[in-house]
Amino acid sequence: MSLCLWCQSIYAHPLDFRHLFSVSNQVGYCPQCLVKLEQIPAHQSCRLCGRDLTKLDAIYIKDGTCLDCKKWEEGPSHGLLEKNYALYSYNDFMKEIMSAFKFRGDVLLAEGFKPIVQMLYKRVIKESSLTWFEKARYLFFYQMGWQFKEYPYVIVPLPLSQKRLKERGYNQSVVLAELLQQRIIPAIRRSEDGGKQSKKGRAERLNTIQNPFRLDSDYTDAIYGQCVLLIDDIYTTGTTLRLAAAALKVAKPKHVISLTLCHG
Amino acid sequence: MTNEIQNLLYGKKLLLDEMPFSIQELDRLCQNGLIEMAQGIVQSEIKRPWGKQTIHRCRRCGNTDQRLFHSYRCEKCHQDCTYCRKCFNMGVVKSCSKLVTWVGPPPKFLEYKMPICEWTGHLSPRQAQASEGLTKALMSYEDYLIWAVCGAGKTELLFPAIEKLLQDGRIMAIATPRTDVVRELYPRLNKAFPRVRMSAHYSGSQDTQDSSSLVLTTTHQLLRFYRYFDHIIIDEIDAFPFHHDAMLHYAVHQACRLKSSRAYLSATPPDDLKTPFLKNRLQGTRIPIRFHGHPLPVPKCIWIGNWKRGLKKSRLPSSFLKWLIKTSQLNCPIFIFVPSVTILKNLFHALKEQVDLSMDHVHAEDPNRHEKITCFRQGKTQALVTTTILERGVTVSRSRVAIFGSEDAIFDEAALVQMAGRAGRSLEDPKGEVVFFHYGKTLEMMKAINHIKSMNREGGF
Ligand SMILES: [Zn+2]
Ligand SMILES: [Zn+2]
Ligand SMILES: [Zn+2]
Ligand SMILES: [Zn+2]
Repeated sequence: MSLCLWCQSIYAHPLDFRHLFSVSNQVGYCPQCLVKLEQIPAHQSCRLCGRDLTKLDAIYIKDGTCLDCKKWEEGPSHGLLEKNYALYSYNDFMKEIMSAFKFRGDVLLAEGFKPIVQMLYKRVIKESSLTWFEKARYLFFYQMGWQFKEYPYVIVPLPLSQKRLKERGYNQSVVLAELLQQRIIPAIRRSEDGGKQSKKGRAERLNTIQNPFRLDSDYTDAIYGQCVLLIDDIYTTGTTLRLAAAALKVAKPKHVISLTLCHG
Repeated sequence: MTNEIQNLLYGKKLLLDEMPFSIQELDRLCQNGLIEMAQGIVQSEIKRPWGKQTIHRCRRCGNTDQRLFHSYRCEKCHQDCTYCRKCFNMGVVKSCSKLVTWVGPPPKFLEYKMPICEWTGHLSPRQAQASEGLTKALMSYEDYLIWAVCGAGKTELLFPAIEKLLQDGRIMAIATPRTDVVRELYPRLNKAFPRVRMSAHYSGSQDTQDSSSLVLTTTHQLLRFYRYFDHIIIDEIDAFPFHHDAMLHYAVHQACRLKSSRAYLSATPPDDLKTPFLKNRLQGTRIPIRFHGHPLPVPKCIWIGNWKRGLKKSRLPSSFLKWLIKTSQLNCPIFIFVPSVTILKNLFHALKEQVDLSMDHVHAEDPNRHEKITCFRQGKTQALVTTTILERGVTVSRSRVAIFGSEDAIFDEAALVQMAGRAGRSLEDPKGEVVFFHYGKTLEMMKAINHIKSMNREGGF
């Protein structure tokens, strides 16, 4: 029996093999709350930004990507961010959860997404360019809960400015990244005044905006030649993640992809 | 500046972060012993046979359920910080947050010597009797219960009592479980007591800096107060979530001064009030008649078989359909209560296909909730399929009530009585009709019917 993280009703866990023997007090959402979330189907998502294509009119889709992504691809910053993985559509219910989690201080809400975020991470490894043997090895290690010696991906959460961090007490992207239970590399910093970015910031504008992110030079070696996985709470226009990717470019990563909890 | 702080903080317990004053100013007052700052979460250790256990307690809501605490690495205090998940909706309380209270001399409250009540209506003899009893009990700091049927006119009978108590310099609160009621009641009270300094508190409302003598608040918002009231009048004490939630009892307890008393209003008082009342350990009055003097409609029971199975195939029980069509010809609004949102949707679609009637459905999380209810009130929709959210407060004249699947465990005696109380509330149509459509009578259904019958008997019918 568990207490739902959101509505605090009591519900029974579906018994599966692992739960039978684990003593960890798992936290999660009850079935009634879970159905209100809209999970993005893996096979029907935009192959570039991870958005749910079933919610889009056919005229906005071209070769498995949405037109927004097409624009990014044709713009000057194409290839900066190779791909984004997203878990949920940003519907009204998700908005409520995110506002409690991000702005009102209910940190524990993220914990309820742990199993599904870890599952997505496994998908990221499966779809990577590693050899089948490496993939199998990593997945086995991950399943067993062992730490990797070297990482298939360097996990970099998107930072908050120092001022925001102090106000809020935590960075939601770090909290989400910690769900993966792998080492986190805080390679990017965010300058104090970079909080507001222009709303019309699309592909064309990317270079003209003052980039609020910069690389922490202590981590140049950790990034060099590596595959980077950026973690953020939400993918909206894709500008923020691309700015972060641009900041990493100095350290010459092999490629940069990202994982977000929501898309919308 | 000090005056403003005094007015805001006297009798309150607020988070330091939400204070509109500078930290330096507050620190200075703290050193002078005028305000007190306390840690938001108290931590203690208990020795158990298997070792030490850390126990947290929230200073604001009194929560000690350890499942509703969570600790994380806090970047503000650079330690592991614990926060309370029970009351975080009112602004999160963490180990490193401070709760501030005024401990210096109290501010000046307005004095009311002249007659202040401008309400000109009349009370029925029963109402007047209850009002007098209430005034007397509260005057001598004793608790009081008003056990009145739905539609007895509970608010009006408070007016004379409030006037007398305010004239005596008492500070009072009227607490109710729901925001809607606070917002509906506030203008009415304002009209009745135009010269009294009063404030309304609900989630999202602003904190006033006046020291008000009459406070209208949701039960949750009582947590912001600390030893402020001489009297708290708690409306609908039986309503969800009050009678399950220890937090709200704590809220009432700590918002009251050490010498204080409470009044309870209810149509279906919970056992912990009913028993002392019946054994004469708690003062109170029963008002078994509605203000229009007609008896409460007694619910009828109609068996509809295994409706759940039928509903899956979009089949509706024929006796229910027959009743609905017959009632709709009377041209009066119909409430159809259902046990859950899933059933709500299924039933609504089935009805839509099979019955030609202007209908709508509404539940707690419906964004268009208020518009739909207004439409129903104005008679634009004739039937409203709803979950239990409308069981209280909403009054539509001439309405008929059907409770579909009344054997469901969600419908307890109090809920059933409240829903039945929606019918026959106006003078033009005092009879109304209430039907329980069920698949097997339950104890709660029988209790509800007996409750209504005994109220009628006591009312002399
Ligand atoms: Zn839930
Ligand atoms: Zn896309
Ligand atoms: Zn609390
Ligand atoms: Zn802290």
